[in-house]
Amino acid sequence: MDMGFQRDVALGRRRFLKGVGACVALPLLESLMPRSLVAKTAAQGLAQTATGAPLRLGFVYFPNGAIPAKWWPTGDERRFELNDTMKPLERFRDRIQILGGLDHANANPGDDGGGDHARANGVFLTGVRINKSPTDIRAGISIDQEVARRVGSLTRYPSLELTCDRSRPSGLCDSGYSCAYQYNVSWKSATVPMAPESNPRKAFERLFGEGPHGERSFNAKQRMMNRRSVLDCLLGDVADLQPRLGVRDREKLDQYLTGLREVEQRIEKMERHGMAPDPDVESPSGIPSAHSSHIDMMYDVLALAFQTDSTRVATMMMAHDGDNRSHEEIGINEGHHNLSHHLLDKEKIEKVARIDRWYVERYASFLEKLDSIQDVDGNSLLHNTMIVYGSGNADGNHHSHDNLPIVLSGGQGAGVEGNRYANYGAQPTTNLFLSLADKLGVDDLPRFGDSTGRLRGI
Amino acid sequence: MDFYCYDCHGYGEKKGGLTLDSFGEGEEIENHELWGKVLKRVRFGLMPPHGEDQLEAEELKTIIDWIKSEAFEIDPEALDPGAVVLRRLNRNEYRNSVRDLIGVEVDTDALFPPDDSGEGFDNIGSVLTISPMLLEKYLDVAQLAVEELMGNLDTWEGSGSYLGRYQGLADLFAGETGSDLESERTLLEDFVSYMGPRVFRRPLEASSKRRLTELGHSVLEVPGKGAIDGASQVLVAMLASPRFIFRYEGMEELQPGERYPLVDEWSLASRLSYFLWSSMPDETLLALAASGRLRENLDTQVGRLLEDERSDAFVRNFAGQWLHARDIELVAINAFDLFLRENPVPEVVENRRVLHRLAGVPASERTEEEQAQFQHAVDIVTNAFAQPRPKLSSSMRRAMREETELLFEYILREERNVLDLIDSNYAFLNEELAEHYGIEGVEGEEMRRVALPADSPRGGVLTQGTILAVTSNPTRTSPVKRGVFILDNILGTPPSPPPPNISSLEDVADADELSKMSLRETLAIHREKPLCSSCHNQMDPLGLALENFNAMGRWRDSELGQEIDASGTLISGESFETIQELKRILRSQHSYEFFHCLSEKLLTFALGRELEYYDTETVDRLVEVLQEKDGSLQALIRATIDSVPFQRGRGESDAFETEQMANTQH
Repeated sequence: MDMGFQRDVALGRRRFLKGVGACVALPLLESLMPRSLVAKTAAQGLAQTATGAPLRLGFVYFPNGAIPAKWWPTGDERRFELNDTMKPLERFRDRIQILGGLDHANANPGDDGGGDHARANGVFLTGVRINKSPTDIRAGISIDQEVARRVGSLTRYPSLELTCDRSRPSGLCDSGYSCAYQYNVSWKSATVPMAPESNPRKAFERLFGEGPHGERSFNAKQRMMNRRSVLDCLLGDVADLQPRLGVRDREKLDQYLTGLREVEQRIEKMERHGMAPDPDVESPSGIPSAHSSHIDMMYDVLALAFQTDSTRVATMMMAHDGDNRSHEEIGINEGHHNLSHHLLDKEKIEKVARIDRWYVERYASFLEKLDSIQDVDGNSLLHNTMIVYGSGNADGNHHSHDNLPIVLSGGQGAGVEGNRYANYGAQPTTNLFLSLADKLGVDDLPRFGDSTGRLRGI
Repeated sequence: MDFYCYDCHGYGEKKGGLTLDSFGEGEEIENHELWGKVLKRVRFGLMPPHGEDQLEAEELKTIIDWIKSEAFEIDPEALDPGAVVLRRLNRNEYRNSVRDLIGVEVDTDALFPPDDSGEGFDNIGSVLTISPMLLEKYLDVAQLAVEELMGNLDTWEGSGSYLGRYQGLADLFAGETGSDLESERTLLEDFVSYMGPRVFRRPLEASSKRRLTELGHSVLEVPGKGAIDGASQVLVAMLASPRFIFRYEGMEELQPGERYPLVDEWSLASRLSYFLWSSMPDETLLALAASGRLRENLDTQVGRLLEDERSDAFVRNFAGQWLHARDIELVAINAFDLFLRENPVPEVVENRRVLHRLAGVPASERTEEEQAQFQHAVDIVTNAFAQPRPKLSSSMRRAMREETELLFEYILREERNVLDLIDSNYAFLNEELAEHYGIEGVEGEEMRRVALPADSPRGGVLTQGTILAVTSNPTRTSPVKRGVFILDNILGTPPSPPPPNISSLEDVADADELSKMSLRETLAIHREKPLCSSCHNQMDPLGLALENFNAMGRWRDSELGQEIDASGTLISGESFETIQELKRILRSQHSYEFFHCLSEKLLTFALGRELEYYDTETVDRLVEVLQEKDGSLQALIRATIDSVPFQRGRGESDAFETEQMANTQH
């Protein structure tokens, strides 16, 4: 009920969107994309559409599941009516597939007991059983990273990780699980979560450089030079230390080394393909106080990253599972997680459904943005981007992980159909991941997580 | 055991999922987790349950000794120190270390992503990972810190830093660009020799020294660049180095008769300083380590570190995380909802419901009647919203955080009994917070020690705003969360998470009934169900005892028109009517559990790793110190520092064993 938020929303949005609008209005956007990269893509047949445009893969996480009765459409595979929560996606009906019957069995308690929110997050893109421990973190590589491992070399950044969780509580996280599980969905390996960026400005500057438009390329280049100047020295230190460490210690040092190698590769790419583009937009502000502005700004950064072919793989958490923030912007003061255990209280169910829909609205406006941007092949960015929108919890009230709420959007450039409501009965969500990887040309994965095969009909 | 335990846990019975029938077979004995639980339940008097035949002291000791020596195979003469995974500096430690090195404050909270935490703390080695993005940030922040330094030399206040004390600093700056290449090269060599061992907190290795010096010299080749530019470049490389970012530890040689080696004195210096300062060792510690005299002067040094103002970081980082005081600044509380729960004016409550319902209907789709209803509701609610009511301002949040920190700090520095954290007759308040708590006679913004009236419900951490708010939901209190908090952080007996596949509350009562029940009544349903009762009997009475405090810590007598009943009976049998009585019971009857809990938390924070079954003996010894020294926190800190896992490592065998382990796993 705080009236201050509206002004904040308006200001935060205006500042940044003004710029993005200008950018979107440009007729020929390939100017933002290094041509050599496009050519290279075509040569390899990886992460590209039939028309030679880059093909991207994104995952968007929303917290605490969705009220099933308001989420699932009615009707059959081709003729169905969208339910209340998904109504904002009506205008993209021919670009979406609503996928029913996808499960994450490894998010079920099994012998591990409580901790469904940690598992909802930790299993979402990994599909493995995560190790129940506050300190011994072991999950598995996530599908975005598996794909990035193969297509990441095509772009300046192998992948991008964003979050709209601004802070973390101290103390213990969900029921004996390390907080690492709950605040990351992307995992580079079983033991290395990809910490996401929560500050829209920092995310933007990482991609395009600091400062106003016109100065960014220079600043970004300077940053690269600075990094390069110390690389040899640091590699030497790593080499000194490596042989003295035990296995687990060496793993930590390897994480450091992996980071150094990626910086090295980025410098090489810069030298071969030239500098990153400098979009004619104002840099976004830091973290705005309104959650909606935060999400929208992050989506803007994500759209720009795809548009400029800075990366083809991205994950974004609108909030972590178990998130208990109140949604005052839509007049809901109770904590989301708390409400999601509604005990069949009609008023609570209604409120949770409104939150669910609010998240879908944010997502719909992101799709709209992607749809309004023209890609190098003349199609829209949405046409050439596959995005999975989903949660690792199905029904927040019961902490169930069967029949997860999942929507696949865009990707028509890769032959993904729209206007489809499929019910897969009970299949691992990881089957979907394998099918998506196939589309990107990463089609030799025998299995992933708990997969049992490919998902047909995508 | 037959007599006390087997009725429930033997002869085919397995209450709580535990049976001791297979007891004696290897598999059960090696189940350390199981025996850890048994140990806690038995020694804290939770088992056998209240009302059953209780163990005699002698019998209890027999069981405890058996678990430690047989099940855990602990050798009291050669305790296993465990293995700490290579720790990287977290954002606090990084910021403080850079400050101590070069006198520059970098805003690491804004520059780095939050560190992952485990076991409640953000300094756990195994959990502190480095993603590629974080590595980039390490490189960039090192650059940024040095640029910050060079760009603001006029206003630089770094005289207390290592760099500020560097004798050659003036010469570095004085070096005329390109005037005498040879002398500039010498200046840089000297700079590397001085800063290297300090940044890396141990002697500079020849290979490192050579690389850094070459890096500095290479800058001199660039036209227009002088010694100071070379030094800047060297500093960036040092601050980005794994030798700085990670706390690499070395071991002393194994002495005859020892099973595990001592960590070397450089490592000990860092263990000390990062424990008590969340920062790097100072000149004195490094000098003692260099001369191999740190261990023999350990006691004096610990005293010095605790007296130094840098130990404020220990209060903020240890107590701030243990007691969740850090979180108060971020917690979301809706003051209007709280106000309505305690002042439920029917007209406002009803119209608010109408407002929310109709807000979901687009204006164009509302009937005329609905539109009028909506407008009316808006007027009523807006008017109510405009009335003054207690809020959780940012200054109040800060005061609350400081209240928790100051109490902890006072106990630490004034050598009070740590049991004052459970119950004390004083508190740290300023005017705003005192008013919030309904305590009179405190004026001004400054936080100060206030003697509490004899019947005050305040005193101790349980009734501080921090804990009361961070364990609440945005619109109401959560007795369950509060109960869990006390079990987790005060009594050290975390409840098991809810069992899987429990039938939910709505199977017990329908939605209508549920909506009419008070929290106490809903929780009572839980406790009737056998699956829920064992844990809820433990946490609910604790949480419900705090119901007189709302979600922002204010006192209230009623909620939703119902008088609050804070009375209850603990699972251990003691009954109480008020929070004051509960605190007295906890302080007098449960100090043993609290000492255990605190010792475990402190040891975890000090070691940067999760405690294991083999740490049981170490913790027991710490608890004995607390008991003997009247709950002295300083004594506990010293005993922690003297403990085997703090002083020793697994050494060579560590690398070997983990290698073996990895091999067998693959």
